[in-house]
Amino acid sequence: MNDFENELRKALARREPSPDFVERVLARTAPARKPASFVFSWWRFASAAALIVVLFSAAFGYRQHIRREKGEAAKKQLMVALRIAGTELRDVQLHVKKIEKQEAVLQ
Amino acid sequence: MLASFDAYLTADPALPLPAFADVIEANKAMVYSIGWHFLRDRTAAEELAQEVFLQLHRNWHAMKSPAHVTHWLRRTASHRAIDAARRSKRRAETSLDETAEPSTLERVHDTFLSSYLERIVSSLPEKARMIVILRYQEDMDIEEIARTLDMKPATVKTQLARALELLRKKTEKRLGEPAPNGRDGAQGDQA
Repeated sequence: MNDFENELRKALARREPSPDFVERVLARTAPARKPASFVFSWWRFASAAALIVVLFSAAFGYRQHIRREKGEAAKKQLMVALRIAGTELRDVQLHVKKIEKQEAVLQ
Repeated sequence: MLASFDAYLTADPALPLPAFADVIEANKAMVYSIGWHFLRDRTAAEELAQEVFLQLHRNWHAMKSPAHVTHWLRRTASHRAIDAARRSKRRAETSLDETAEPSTLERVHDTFLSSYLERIVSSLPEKARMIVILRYQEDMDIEEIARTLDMKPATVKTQLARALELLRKKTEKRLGEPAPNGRDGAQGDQA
């Protein structure tokens, strides 16, 4: 090794990169671990989709239930109304018959 | 890094980040300097060094020992630096004998010999430049350089000798006096 080579060695001494070099490399290793997070996010997406389907099904079922109950209530009301109307009609018929009998007696 | 290398190997095959931080810390100057001395561009050298370490992280499972890691890093950094220079055409490819002298303006600014040598090394053709960098930055011998660059030892020896001769002549011309020592160091190194 001679002086010229020693000068070369000095000139080509190692240098340090920027102080945050390690942090920046570590930050870039994150995309390399993407497959795991991708699977995780896929599962999250699937879970969210399943939850939405369940919620929609429940809402649809509840709506059908409410409709059925309303129908039943309307049917009952109609039956009551018909019964009342039938009773009233029978009373009127009896009254009419009673009047007809009285008129026949008078004649 | 050296003391706990086995622990790294037996841990998570993907290499836990704290352990990887140690590996980067121990080797960052070496990898960055290969890029810096070859490309003479701080941004490009940092980008190159980052890419090399990311590649190491992806290939960690193939590492067998600290020495293997060092060899792998030198080899990968060297090849990547050569590829980067070829892609960007930062340095015009010339033969050793056609290497240009720095301009007059550059001479004014080159007040220190080290700075001048660093600059003139970066004007060498790719292979010769990398040989000089590995020889004098990394203190590697001819055989190691040949293995790292996939070259024959005889070719490395010849290119190193020619590069040194050229650098010495240019330095003599620059200083206006003989270089520090006229003896051919590459030949002496092989003795």
